[in-house]
Amino acid sequence: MNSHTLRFGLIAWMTTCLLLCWSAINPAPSKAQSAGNLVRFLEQATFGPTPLLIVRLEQIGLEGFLEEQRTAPMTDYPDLEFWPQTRPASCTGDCQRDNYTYYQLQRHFFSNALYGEDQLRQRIAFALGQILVSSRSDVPLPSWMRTYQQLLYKSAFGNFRQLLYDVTVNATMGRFLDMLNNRCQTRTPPDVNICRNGLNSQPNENYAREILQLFSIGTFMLNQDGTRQLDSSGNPIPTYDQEIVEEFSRVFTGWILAPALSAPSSVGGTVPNYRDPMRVRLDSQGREDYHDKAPKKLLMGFQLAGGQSQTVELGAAIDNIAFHPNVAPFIGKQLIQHLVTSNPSPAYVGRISAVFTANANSPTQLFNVVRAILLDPEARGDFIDTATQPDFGKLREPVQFITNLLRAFNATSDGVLNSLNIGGSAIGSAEMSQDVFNAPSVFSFYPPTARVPGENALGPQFAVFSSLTSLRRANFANRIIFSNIPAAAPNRPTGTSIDLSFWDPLASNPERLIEALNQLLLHGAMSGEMRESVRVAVESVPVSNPRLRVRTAAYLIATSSQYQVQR
Amino acid sequence: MASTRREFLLRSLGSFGAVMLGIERFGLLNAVAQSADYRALVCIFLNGGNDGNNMIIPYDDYPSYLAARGPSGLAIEQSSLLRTGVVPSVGAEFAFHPSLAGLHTLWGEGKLGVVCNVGPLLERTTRTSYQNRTARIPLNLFSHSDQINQWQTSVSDTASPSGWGGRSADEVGPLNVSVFSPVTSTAGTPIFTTGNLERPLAIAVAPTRLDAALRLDGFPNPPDNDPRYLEMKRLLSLDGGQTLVRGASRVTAAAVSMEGAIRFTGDPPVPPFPLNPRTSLGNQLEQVAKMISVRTELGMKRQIFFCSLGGFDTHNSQVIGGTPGTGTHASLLLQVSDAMKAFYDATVQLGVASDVTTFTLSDFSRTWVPNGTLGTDHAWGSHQFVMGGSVRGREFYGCAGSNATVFPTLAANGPDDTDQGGNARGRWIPTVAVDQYGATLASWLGVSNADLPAVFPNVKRFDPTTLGFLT
Repeated sequence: MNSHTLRFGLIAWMTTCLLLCWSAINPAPSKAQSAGNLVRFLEQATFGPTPLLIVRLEQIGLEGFLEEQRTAPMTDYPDLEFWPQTRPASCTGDCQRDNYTYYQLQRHFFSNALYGEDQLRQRIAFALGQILVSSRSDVPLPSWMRTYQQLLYKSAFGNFRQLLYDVTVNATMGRFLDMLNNRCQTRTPPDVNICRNGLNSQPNENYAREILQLFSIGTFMLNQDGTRQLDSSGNPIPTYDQEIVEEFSRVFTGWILAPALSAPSSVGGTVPNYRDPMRVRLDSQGREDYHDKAPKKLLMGFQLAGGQSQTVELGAAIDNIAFHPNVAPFIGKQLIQHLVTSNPSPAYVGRISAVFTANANSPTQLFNVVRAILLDPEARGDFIDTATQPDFGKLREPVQFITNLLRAFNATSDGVLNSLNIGGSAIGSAEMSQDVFNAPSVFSFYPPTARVPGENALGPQFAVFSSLTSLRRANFANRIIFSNIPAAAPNRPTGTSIDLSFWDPLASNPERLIEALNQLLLHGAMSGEMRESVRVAVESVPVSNPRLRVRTAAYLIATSSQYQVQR
Repeated sequence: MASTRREFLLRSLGSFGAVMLGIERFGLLNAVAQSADYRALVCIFLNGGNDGNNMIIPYDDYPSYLAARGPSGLAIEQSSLLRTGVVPSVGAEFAFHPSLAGLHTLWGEGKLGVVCNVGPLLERTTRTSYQNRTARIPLNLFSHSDQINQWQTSVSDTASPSGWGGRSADEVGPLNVSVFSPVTSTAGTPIFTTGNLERPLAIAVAPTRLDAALRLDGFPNPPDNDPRYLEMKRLLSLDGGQTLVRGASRVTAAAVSMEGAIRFTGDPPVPPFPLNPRTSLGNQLEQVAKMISVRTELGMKRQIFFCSLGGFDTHNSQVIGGTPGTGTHASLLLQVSDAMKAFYDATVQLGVASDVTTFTLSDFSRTWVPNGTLGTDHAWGSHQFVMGGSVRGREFYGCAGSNATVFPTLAANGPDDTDQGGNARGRWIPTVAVDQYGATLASWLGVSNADLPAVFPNVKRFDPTTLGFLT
């Protein structure tokens, strides 16, 4: 890590200089891709523009970048051993930290976001992980969550139907939403043709409800442009009712964990298998004794005849969901919201739905959808016209706020950024209400329907933007710009810091300093009155203290609402 | 008056300046003189859908409970239950879950009541009108997000932009003598806390000190002459017509302003807090008690607080197999009971026990018939606790349903179940609308009868509009 960060730092130093010279020399680029458009693109497609990446994008263009990202090697999470669910008394210290807390996963999440080459894959995986949610709240071991997060990495550019199937049989999801060990109900009188070895209890409805409501189609019938269909009385039309949920709950019966894995040699014995997909439960005579064999009525009037094998039924049920016409606008709009804007026009959603549907059987469906989202005319251009699109953009979620700021200034970081309490100030992502891989529930950190306070516009991330968390964002910026997150053994090996020394030479010319920061942090969109306000503060600092001038300017921009909102 | 408090008062005036309309209207000394007039509501939201069916358990009719929940392993042993005595309004004896010892004590002292079978409704709904679809019913029944919004907004047929906590604050907020936010949350800013005018303040929970519950680092104290501080505030007024920028600045500007006031509150002790060991809900209610203790200094006469506790979505392992009095739900109820009891005791010590009413909300109740994984699934109407010196305790409240009492008939496929047939799960159709439950609380807080429809737009559809559980 050390040699890597050193090398990275050196390259970044040179390229930042390049960028500054370039933006100073060439304030009104004449090329097809203007600086503003490039930086905006990186805000949407990565965890934040870096000087290096801006230069690279200028060289290869947006299409070239997307192609490079499509084939970039996938960054992994650390390979965690599978330990017993109950911690052995001998496992303490680092063993406990690494195998019974999310420390390594969360740390690598941030390291990957800060330094990984596969930025687009990671960004899509992170978005998907907030739509098809699994959470530590019922997944206690990090090795179990790793399996799920690796699946999202692997599937980020793949086919949605395949993803939905893989998520469904994933053991971690099985545990989180209770398809694992879900079993049929024994009828009175018992009917072995329907349920051979169930309980006198109903199947668990949890996964059936949430796969429909959150992972695929939502609660109301949609037009392809994302707007709601209405009935003749002007009311929205439900996509399913309680009976359909119960029918799906019977489809999702009979799945159990794959054969147990060997525990670490120091422990001995076996541990539950959260590495492999769930498998079909069979009795001693090879019969699917936990699965409900009765006919089932699914979406859009589709019927399962009953009596089929458990796996065939599951495949048919996933097809029934994944090819429902709501999926394209429901998933497509949320991906737009995660990457580009909380308030896409219906036409934008419609264009993305068309790509989603045309690629329904493509093995690179999601990549093609994301490509369309990022290259759409509504996403591109130097600036967004405020007069015609006042609601454009998205509030940066805490993770994006942290990584964008750090990447812009080529931070050196150990990735320990999820939970931070420095000098009594709580400034980590978790403290800003985005505890990575530990959303409060399957409804994730914020709902796609949340609104901007005092406005009609949608602003999902505003659900985690409060008086408390807005000040914590400012305090994070204060900490990183005016000092650093210090190393603290053993769990913060290097801490996190940025090096502002190469900005110092600009400090004697506040307008140049502010313009360079404007290019890097706000893709050149800073208004004249904002520029003037920052200049007043910068000039209040004696020219003999260039670093304080740089810090003053960087702090004011980083804490401004103009920076909190990605436009 | 301690000099820091005095400084705080003066400082509040200075930092709020002209926007401090309340102060201008009443004058600072009046604010102190009138401080005896105080009322607060404290909402505790049980996220995930609390199983009311294992919280309030029939004691006289225990056999039918055992028959429904015993085979799945969810029936709590009768001998461990905390008995209520005969409940006057029902004429039968019930019992609390064994984890609820603290609340059971308050029940015995007449400081705790139960409101039965409450839930979102669009109109009075019966099993018949539900099943033949003549009743209009809330959108997307049994969905977490929808039912949470309906509980918090009281509006069940459309997406409401505000909640009834915030709208109540819109009505009673002008009684306050400062512009400090009348709605304070220790659990983010859910829709309950948002009014048409009032915006919630979210603060850090204990053990963070009250005077650091909002903090802005990196400036001299006071910061008011620091150029960077001044420009940071100026930037919050520049939105360039961009909606999201304006919204973000609205939140941050309020935070910066309120931070300037809260940092002078000190960190008053509020025994019996802190709890040992600390708990999530205990830490929240401890901070609420501290806020209440500085109500006079903050110029508050009406306040609404919001706390929440998650984990109630017990589809799985609600109880530990073989010992149904233990497990996830038992632990959560223990936390609720201990924290609420401590909070009540703190209000007694602060001399405001009769001025503070605490109440629970939750997404929905859970199916009477469990599933096969030691858990329960989503249902509808549930029971809620109301606590405080103004509660007419030791009684069940609600509206008489199909069995002529306020308590539903506990029978799958019975007269209060949405479900029919042999697979019926027992999802009680509410007999009390959220509107009625909330209107009772809001009326007590000071919302006039004439203004109730501004807070609860559909309350007139229900009779009576308020229930009698508060004096």
